Amino acid sequence: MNSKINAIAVSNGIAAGKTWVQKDSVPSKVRKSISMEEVPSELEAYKKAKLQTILHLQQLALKVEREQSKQASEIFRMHIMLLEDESFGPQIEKVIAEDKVSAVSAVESVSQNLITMFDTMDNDYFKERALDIKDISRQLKVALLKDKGLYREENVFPQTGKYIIVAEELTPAQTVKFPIDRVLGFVMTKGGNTSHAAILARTYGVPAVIVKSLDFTALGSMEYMAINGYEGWISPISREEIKHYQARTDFTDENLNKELNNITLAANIGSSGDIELIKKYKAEGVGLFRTEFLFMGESLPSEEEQINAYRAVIEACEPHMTIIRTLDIGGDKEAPALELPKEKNPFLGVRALRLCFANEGLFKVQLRAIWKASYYGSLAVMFPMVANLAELRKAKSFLREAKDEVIKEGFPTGNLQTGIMIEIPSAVLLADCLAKEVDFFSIGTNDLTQYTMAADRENEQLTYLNEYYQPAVLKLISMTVEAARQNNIWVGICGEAGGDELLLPFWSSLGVTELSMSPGKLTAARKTLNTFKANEEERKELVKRVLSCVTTEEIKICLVSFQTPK
Amino acid sequence: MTEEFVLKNEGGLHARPAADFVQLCKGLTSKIQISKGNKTADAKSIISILGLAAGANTKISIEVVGDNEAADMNAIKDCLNRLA
Repeated sequence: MNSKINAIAVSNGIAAGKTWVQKDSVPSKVRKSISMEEVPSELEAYKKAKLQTILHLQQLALKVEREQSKQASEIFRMHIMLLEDESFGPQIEKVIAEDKVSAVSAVESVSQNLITMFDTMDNDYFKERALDIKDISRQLKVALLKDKGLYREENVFPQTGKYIIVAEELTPAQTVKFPIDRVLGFVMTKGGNTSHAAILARTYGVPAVIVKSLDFTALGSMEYMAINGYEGWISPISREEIKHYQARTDFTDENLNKELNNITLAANIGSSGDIELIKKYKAEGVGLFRTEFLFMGESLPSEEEQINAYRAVIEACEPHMTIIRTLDIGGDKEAPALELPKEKNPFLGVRALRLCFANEGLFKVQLRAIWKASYYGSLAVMFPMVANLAELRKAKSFLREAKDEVIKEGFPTGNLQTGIMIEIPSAVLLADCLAKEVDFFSIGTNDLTQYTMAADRENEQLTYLNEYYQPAVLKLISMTVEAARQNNIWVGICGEAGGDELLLPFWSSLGVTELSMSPGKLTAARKTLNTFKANEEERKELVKRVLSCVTTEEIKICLVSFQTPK
Repeated sequence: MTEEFVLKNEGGLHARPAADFVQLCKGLTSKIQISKGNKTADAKSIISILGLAAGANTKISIEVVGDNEAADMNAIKDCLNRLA
C-alpha cells in the first residue's frame, strides 16, 4: 500500500497515470532601468504587448463561449476590463515614463501592488482576483519577451497521451488551454474550491485536488500518481500500479450483468435531439422525458405537435418504456409564452403540477396528447411536485377526463402506467398512502435535497447542504423505497444521484428498480455495477452501514470502502 | 444625490457582477462613487470597485452627481438588483 497524502477534494473522481508538471517559465532577468532616450520605444513595446494580450483574451473568450458557455467566457472579458483600468494598464505606462524602467519591470511592479491588495483581502471571492491579475501580467510579460526574442515556450503540454496535471496554481487562461479530453486530473498546491481550475474540472467531470501539505518541488518529482477527488488524497505510485487504479476509469462498453444487479438503467432526455442518444448509449428506456422544451418557445405547442414529439421518443425506446413527466415549468424554468408573473419565492411557488392546476386547459391538452401517444408503444406518465394525496387524486381525475374525451372522439389508446415524482419531503412521509394509488414512484433527488435541506439549489454558498449524500436525504430515499416495496410498486431514481458512481452499489442494494440518468453516464454506470458482486448478506450490511452514518463524510468514506478493489 | 443599498446577490460586487456593474456605470454621464465603510471607489473603475471587497450583504452607499442623476441612480439600483 502506498502512502496517501492528504488533499482538499475540489472535483469528484478517481484517476491514475503519468504526471505532467506545469512550470511557470517566464524569466525575469531583463534589465530594469532604462535611459530617457529608451522611454518612447519601451512605451511602444508595451502598447504592442497590450494589444496582443487583448486579442489573445478575446480569442480565449470566443473559444470558451463555443466550448462551454457564455457565462464561463465572461472571465476573459473581465480581464480585458481589468487591463484597461486606470490603475493597471495606464499605470504601467506612467511607471515606464516616470520611473524610467523597462516595460517588463513596470508590468511586474504594477501587478505586484495589485496582487498584494487582493491577496490581503479576507473574502475568498476577492482574494481569487489576485490570480486574475497574475494571469494578465503573465500574458503581458510573455508578449514583451517574445517580441524581444527572449521567450521560448519550453513547457508545452505533450501532443499525445493523457496526463495528471500538476501545477502550483492554474490561471484561467492556462486552464482553458488544455485539451480537456486528455486531462486525467488536476493537482494543485494553491487555490481552493472556487478557483477557476476547480470549477472547470467540475464542469467537465475531471477529478481535482489541492495539496497543501507538500511543496511543489516534491509534488513535481512524482512521475506517476493516483488521485482521489472524492476522499481528497493523492499517492505516488509506480507505472505498474496504474492498471490497478485504472480499472474503473477506462470505459469500454459492456452489458449490464443482470444476475449481479437486477436494475433497469434508463436515460433522462430533455429534447427530441436527445433521441439518438437512447440507442447510442444502450438505454433501457427513458426514465424521465422532460417535456418543458416544447413549452419554452414563443408559442405553446398544439396537441398534434405534442403527440408527434412523444411518439418519436416512444418509438425510439421500444421495446422499453418511456416515462413522460408532465409539464414542470416554474421555479427556475421559464416559459415566455405563458407570461408567468414573477414570484418572490419561485421554488416554493406555483410551479409544475401547481401551475398545471392553475392552467387547466394547458394541462388537459398535454394529457390528451399523452393518451393518444400511448397507442404507439410502452408508455407511462408521472406528475412532478406532488405534495399530498389530494393533489394526486386531482391530477388523476384530469387524466381520466382526458382519456374519456380521447376515447369518445374515437381515438385508440394504449396502456398507461401512472406514477409520481417524489421530491417533496411531505410526499415521502405520505409514501405509504400515495403508493396505494399509483403504479410507481420516481425519486427526483435534486429537488428532494433542496426541499429537505431548505437550501436553494442555485445558491453556491449552500453547496455544502445541497448534496444528496446528506444523511437526511438518503434516509428519505430509503423510506420511499421501503414504502414502494410494501405496496408492491416499483421505484426509480431520476435525479443526479441516480447516476452517481459512488452510490450505485447502494441503490442496487437498497432495492431500487430503475435508475435514470443522463445518457452519457450509462456506460460508466454499467461498468461500476458489474464490479459490484456483493451477496445478499453483504448488501444488507452496506445499506445498514450507510444509513447509520451521521455525516456526509462518513457516508462517502463508507461508500468508497465498498467500491475500492480489495 | 446619495442612497444606501444592501448587496443581496451571492458574492456581492465580485468578478463578473463587478464587471457588469462597471460596464453599466461607464455608459452613464454622472460621476458615480460607491462607498463601503470609510473606503470610496470610482464606479467606472473595475479595480477600484473590486478593491472595496463588497461581498454579499454589504451595505454600500451610492453617490451620483450630474445632470441625469435621478435617472442614473435608478439605472444603477436596477443593475444592482439584477446581479446574479
